[in-house]
Formats: sequence, structure tokens, C-alpha cells
Amino acid sequence: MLSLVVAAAVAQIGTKAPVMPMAIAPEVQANVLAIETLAYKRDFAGAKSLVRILPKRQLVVSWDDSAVPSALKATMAKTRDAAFGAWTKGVHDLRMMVGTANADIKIGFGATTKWSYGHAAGEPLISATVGLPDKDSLAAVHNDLAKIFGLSLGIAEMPVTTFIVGPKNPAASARLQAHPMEVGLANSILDAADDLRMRVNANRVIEPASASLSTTVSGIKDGPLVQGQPLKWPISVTNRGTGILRFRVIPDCSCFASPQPENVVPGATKTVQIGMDTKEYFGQVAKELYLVSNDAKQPVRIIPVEVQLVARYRILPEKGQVVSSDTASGTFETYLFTPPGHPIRILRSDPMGLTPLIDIQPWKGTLADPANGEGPMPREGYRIRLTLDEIPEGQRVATGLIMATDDPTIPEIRYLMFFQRGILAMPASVFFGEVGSKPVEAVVTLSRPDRPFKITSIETLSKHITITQDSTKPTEYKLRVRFDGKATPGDYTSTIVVKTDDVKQPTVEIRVNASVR
Amino acid sequence: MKLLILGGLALAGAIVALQTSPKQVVILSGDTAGYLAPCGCTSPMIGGIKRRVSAIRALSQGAHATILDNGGSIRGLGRQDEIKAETVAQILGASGATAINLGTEEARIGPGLVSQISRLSGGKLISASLDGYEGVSPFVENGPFLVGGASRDDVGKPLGAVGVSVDQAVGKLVDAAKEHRLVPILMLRGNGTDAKALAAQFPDLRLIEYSSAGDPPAAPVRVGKTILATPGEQGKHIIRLTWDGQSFGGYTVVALGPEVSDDPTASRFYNAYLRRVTAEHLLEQLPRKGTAAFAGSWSCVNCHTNGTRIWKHSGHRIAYQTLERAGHGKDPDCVSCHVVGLESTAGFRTKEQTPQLAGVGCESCHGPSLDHAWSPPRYRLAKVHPRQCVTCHNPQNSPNFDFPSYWKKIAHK
Repeated sequence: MLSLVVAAAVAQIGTKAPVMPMAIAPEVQANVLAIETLAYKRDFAGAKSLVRILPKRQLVVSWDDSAVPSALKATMAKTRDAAFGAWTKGVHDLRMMVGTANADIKIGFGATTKWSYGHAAGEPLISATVGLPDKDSLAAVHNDLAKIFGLSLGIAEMPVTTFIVGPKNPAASARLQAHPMEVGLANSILDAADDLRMRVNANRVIEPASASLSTTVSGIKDGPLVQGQPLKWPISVTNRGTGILRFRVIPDCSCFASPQPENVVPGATKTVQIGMDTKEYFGQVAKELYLVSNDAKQPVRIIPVEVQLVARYRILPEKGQVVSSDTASGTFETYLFTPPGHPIRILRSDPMGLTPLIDIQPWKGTLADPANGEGPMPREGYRIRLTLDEIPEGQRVATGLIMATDDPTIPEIRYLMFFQRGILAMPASVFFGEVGSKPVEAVVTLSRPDRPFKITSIETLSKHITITQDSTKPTEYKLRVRFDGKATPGDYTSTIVVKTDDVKQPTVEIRVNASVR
Repeated sequence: MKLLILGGLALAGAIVALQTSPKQVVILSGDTAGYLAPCGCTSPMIGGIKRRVSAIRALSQGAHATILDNGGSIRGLGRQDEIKAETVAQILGASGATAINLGTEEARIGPGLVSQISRLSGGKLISASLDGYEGVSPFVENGPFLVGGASRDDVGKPLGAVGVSVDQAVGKLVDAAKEHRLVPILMLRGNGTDAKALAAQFPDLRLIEYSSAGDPPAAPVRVGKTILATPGEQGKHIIRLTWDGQSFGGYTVVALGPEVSDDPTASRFYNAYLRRVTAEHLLEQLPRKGTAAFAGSWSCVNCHTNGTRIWKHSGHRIAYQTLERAGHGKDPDCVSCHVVGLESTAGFRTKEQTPQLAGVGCESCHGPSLDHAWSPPRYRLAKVHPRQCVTCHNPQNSPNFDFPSYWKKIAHK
């Protein structure tokens, strides 16, 4: 008895409007508000006639393919069914079917794709014209249809490129499944629509309400800052509407930490902190944050983020990353420096690969960093010297150095360098790639920067290969390798043997590869 | 009056002709930085050369396309980088690239590689930062455009060639374009600040493609009449612009997500790349460090029953199988995050030699544990910090990584 009395009282004084989920389309929000206004005025018949244009779980699609060429009609119908599947596979209890009476979605074909939302009783949720396909653009038709079906579930257009309701991607193949986040949004919107429909059908008086998001943050610019520093930016959001505002900041990168969704009551302000882990980046970094809400007019706002990050450390080898030696011994020297006021202490160092003698000393001096557009200037850090006594003859070998640091954001610094000894072919093999029956030519350089050498002969076992040589300096030879293209189709491999006047390295072998088609 | 009507008809005819003739489209890519395939373990991964070619083909349809790649195809100096640079050049050449800018990233490997990538790309390599170099043109003409490449770094130095300053290189481009009444486009191996400065210095430039970290901005930067655009990092996006005869417009950023299919020709070249990586045994040549011995996760089961039970049912356990299925089981770029101890002399070698270390296991996070397995009280293992996860679950490989939700999947004590 008491509950009946309470229900009657509620029906008289009205209930709060349901909180709309985030990312609901403004056009759907307008319909929600219209329904709530009618229900508030106790025009339940009017409200009931309008609830038909709310998103729902059983959607009838009217399909007018009269503009589609006959030969394509069956393909178009299959495309439509696949586009249904992109949503029905994930959204709870969703059914989409073709019908004529009381259609919720009206599809026709025309020159370009466009759509409009229904706002009056008797209108469909969405009426759309889909751009007529040419033979190569069935994927575009599929994606347009899938997007229209997604919008009919009440989701706003989103700037997220991987969403079906995202921006049109002219290069995309058919999107066969909605993104899990899109599915989540659709489920929330359908739940809210069901709630509103149930209240209207129960003749409940509803106080109309809508949220309105206001923020002063339209973009974030930060820096210059040293890489690795955790960044935090406050984003304050004020609700200037009458309903509860629900919002969340969705980042485009896992380098951001963003909090869970927040609710803000009318008139109140809430501040969330957005964090960025800058460990992986340096230079000018551009990212985006999406401020997604149930704002009645602009449910998605893009907040561009631009951060200027200075590298936490730089390593500048004095003579490049490759040490060339004529003997088994070679020394590699490089400088590690950090931005002023941000020193790093090297606690330990370990070799990777070969085992050079490592000498790391604190260092101060003047160095230029042309790669970063910096002329000579005072720097501070370490001089790193590695001496290797086991460089194999005629090889380029990689060796690494792992330095443990006192900086918890960069506990290890890894650096790779190369030692080479003797005469070396660069690239290590001649790669012709895919070749047809026409002859092709490639160039390979044979060099020993520290000591002149002579080529005494060049041999190959393959009748398809001919080689000529020229030299601009006595330490370097260019071999022009010509492949006649007459080998049998398939993977072709051969070897060129270059004989030299060096007794320690009398031959240099160069692989030859091609795919003959 | 009659003249007016005829004039009107002629104008209408011209407009129709303009509308029906294929438009000029410029497509920008670059800064692949060795990411030939989207690497990682969580969807949706963005990027990859196979998708890029497919997108380039789709965006070029029915238009006169100028397809530009700003170089920077690799990051390192190793043998795998050489093979990658060759593969990218070959794929770009086959995709109809108009020009590829030569970066110091490629030049550092030496004249042999530059010659090889020039040939494999079909002679598309350009750089006005070199004062004449075999196989590398300063500019290339395509339709109404004269495209030039330039680099802030000295490209000539690693090649033993004469380098040209970036100002001089761009000056040459602008002068040559003026002389031939062409529209100058610059591909710049430099950042947004460099691009802005050059746009201010050379206002005749109509488009500058530059390099940047992060994703391309939603709208291009304009300096006077010059549009500045970047495809962003690691070949994840391409940019499309249209040219109406007067100015660039239609700026579109295309993310190379899973909705973009792989191009069959690029896939064929890419598969050949993987075969070369396998055939040259690059995984076995990785430099390694000395560490304590590994035990393998099954050694943990007797004492850490709960932890190993959770691991047994996790994606971590089958991480190497997942990688093999994707064809990357011998790819040094990928294997370290799918096995235990690849960097250690005591760690993973091959699936056959060290089956107990194939997959991500207990020791991937807790470190080598054979000593601990023999004598737990004597050899305690260090506590693991969440930052250990991001050595593999970094923004590139795991774009949706979020510690609390991921930890739930493998939570154990």
C-alpha cells in the first residue's frame, strides 16, 4: 500500500531524468530532451509517440535499392547483412532486419553518403543515402552502412580512426566488427534509452535535464622538458547544464594515464589529472586526448597535446658507430652527456656480445650535436672507451654496452657499436630483389679504410653473373654485378669470390640473391 | 549577347573539363624507422608497409598521384637494417613511389646500400643535400610538381661525398621550380621547427613534408602559402592532399589500422624479407651478455603452485607460438619479448635447443632463477616493479596497456 502511495507521489512530482551515457549523439540527446519535456508536461501520449525515435535493440531497416544497378543488388544486400553483423556480434540482444512497415532506419542510394536524424513522431531514427559504389568501392559502402547502423544506436561520430563511427577512411577495407569500446558505448546508450522508454510507458513525470560541459582547456602545450619526467596536467570540467554530466578523457596512446569516468552535478566543477610517461619520446611530440561526455551539444572534443622533450641523454661517437681496424685490436670512443642540471650517474657497465675492455670516465668538454641542430657547446657526462682485441678478420661484428644508471626512469642505457676488420663487402650481399627476364645490375663496395689493397681476380660459379670493377681510391672498389635474368624461376642464390693481394684475407665471399619471376 | 552566351558555354565547358579530369593527389609517407610490420600484442596495432601500399593504391585511384616517402626507413646499422632498407625500397618502388628522400639513417650504412636501395626502388632515391651522387637525383618532376629532398644532417659525410647545406639545397629546388614553372615540394629530414624556418625563408615552397614524433596533427600547419605536413612516427599514418592548380587542400590523415588490408605485392616482398632474416640466422648473431642460469617456468611449479597455474593459462605462456604463427619466430626485432632471456648467454637460443624458455615465463620478469630453484632461502629473487612490464608493453608494442587491468589477467603472489 505504502509503495503504491510513493509511486503515485513520484508520478505527481516527477523523477529525475536518467543520466545519459557518454558519447551519445547530440541529435539523439535532443530527442531525449523532447521526450522528457513532454513527459514533464504529462503529455504521455506525445512522449510515447516520440520514444519510437530512440535507439532500440530491434531495428527494422527499409532498403530501397532501386538506384543500384541490377547486377549489384545481390552484392549490396550481402554487404548490408555484413554491416549488420559488425554490430549484432557485440551489442546485447541487438537485431537488425529488413522490413518495410515502421522502418527505424531508411536506406537509399545516391551520389554521396549523407544522413539525417528523425526528430518527429513517425519519422525513422535515421534516413540515409549511401554513395553508389563503383566496382572497387564495396568496402566503402560496407563501412558507410556500418557507420549509419552505429549512429542509429545513438553513438556520436567519433574522431577515433579505428572506430566504425570514426572518420571516413578512404583506404579502409570492410570493418567487420565494431571496436569493443564502441560496443560498450552502444550498450550504455541502449540501456539508457530502455530506461527512458520504460518510464514514459509507465506514465512517469520526468524532470527534463541535460548536461553541458565547459572547460578552459582546448589544448595542452608543455616543454621543453627532459625526457623521462612524468608530466601531469589538470583538466577542469564544469557542468553548466541541468543534468548530471558524465565525462572521461580517453587518450590515443598508452603513454597517458587517464582516470576513470567522473560524474559532475549541475553547477559543480571537477578536475582530473592526466599524466604522461615521457620515457619513450624525445623531440616534438604530438598526441591527442579525447574529452568524451554526455554534453548535449558536443559529446566529443579533441584536446591536442604538444610536448617538447629534450633527450635524457645523448651518445655521440667521435667517428661514427663503426670502428674500422686493420688489426685484431680496435678502440671505440664515445661521449655520453646529459642536459644541464640533469646528470646521470653510471653505476655499472656490462658488455653484450664480444668482451671489450671498458673504460668509463667522468668528462667535461665542448661538443657539437649536428643531428639535433646544435653547434659546439659545453657538455658534461662521461667519456666511454671500449677496446676490443678479438675483432675477427673480414667481418663486421656488433657489440653492446649496458650501463646501469641511478635514474629510476632509465635504469639501463644500452648502446650498440660495430667493429670491423679487414676488407669488407657493403652491403654484405648483393640483393637483386624480384627480377624478370631482363638483365639487372647492382653495385657492391669492397673497402678497407685503413690500408690499400688490390683485387687480383673475381670469380663466380654462375653463368648468369658477370662482374666489372672500378676504383676511385686504393682502399675502395666498386663491383658492378650484372645478372642476365636467364636463370630458372624461383629463388636464385650464388656466390662471388673476390681474391685479394692480402695474405691474411686472400678471399672475400659475397652472396648474391634474387627471386626470378 | 551571343558572345556572352558563347563565353558562358566555354566557361561551363572548362569547368566540366576541370571536374572530369583526374585530380592531382599527393600522398606522403616516411619515417618507417624499421617498423615494417605493426609490432605488438594488443589490438589495434597501427602501421606496416603492407597496409601502407594498400592505402596508397586506394588513395591514388582515379587521380594523378605524386607518392612521396620522406626516408628514414631504418634506425640501426646492423645487417637486419640493411635488409629492411632494401625491402622498403623495393616495396615503395613497386607501389609507384614518385620519390624517396635519402636520410642519414640509410646513408650511414654506406655507398653500397645507397646504390642498392636506389636500384631496388627503381631509381626513386632523391637528395638535393648531395652535390651529385650516382643513383641519387636532386629533384624529380611529376605533373605540375618539382619534388626535392633535403636533410638537416650531413648526408654526404657517411658516403664520403660532398654535402650541401639544407639552405642551399632548398634554394636550388626553389630556383629550379621557378625556372621550369613547377610547384616546389620539399621532403625534409628535419623536424617541425626546421620546416617552419624553411617555409618562412622560402615562401615559394608550397608543401613541406617533415619528420615528427607522435601522430600527425589533425590539421596541417600553414606558414604563409606553404603547407607543412608530417606522417608522424614509425610509418603508422599516411597523408593525402589534393592540388587544385592553385593550392593544396583536402588534407586527410589515414591511420593504417587493421581495417586497411595488406597489399598482396607488398606482402610477397615482406615474406621474402622474413625468409632472408631467417636464412641469414640473424637471431643467432645477436650480442648477448653473461647472466646467471635460467631454470624455465616449469621448475617453479612445485613451490609456486598458484603463480604457475595462472601462467599456464596465460597468453604469456604461448607468446612464442603466437609469434611463430605470425611468421616472426626468427625475427630478432620481435623474439626478445616472446621468450625468456634472449639477451643472455644462458637464455633462449631456439625452440629446439631451449624449449623451456620459449614463451614469456616467470623469469622474464623475475630474472634468472636456477640458483633460486636449487636453494630458495639462499638465493631470493627481487620484487618486480610494474615498470618491468613496459619494457615490452611499451606504447609502440602495446598501445592499450594499462597496468591495473593487465595485471588482473596474471595476478599472483
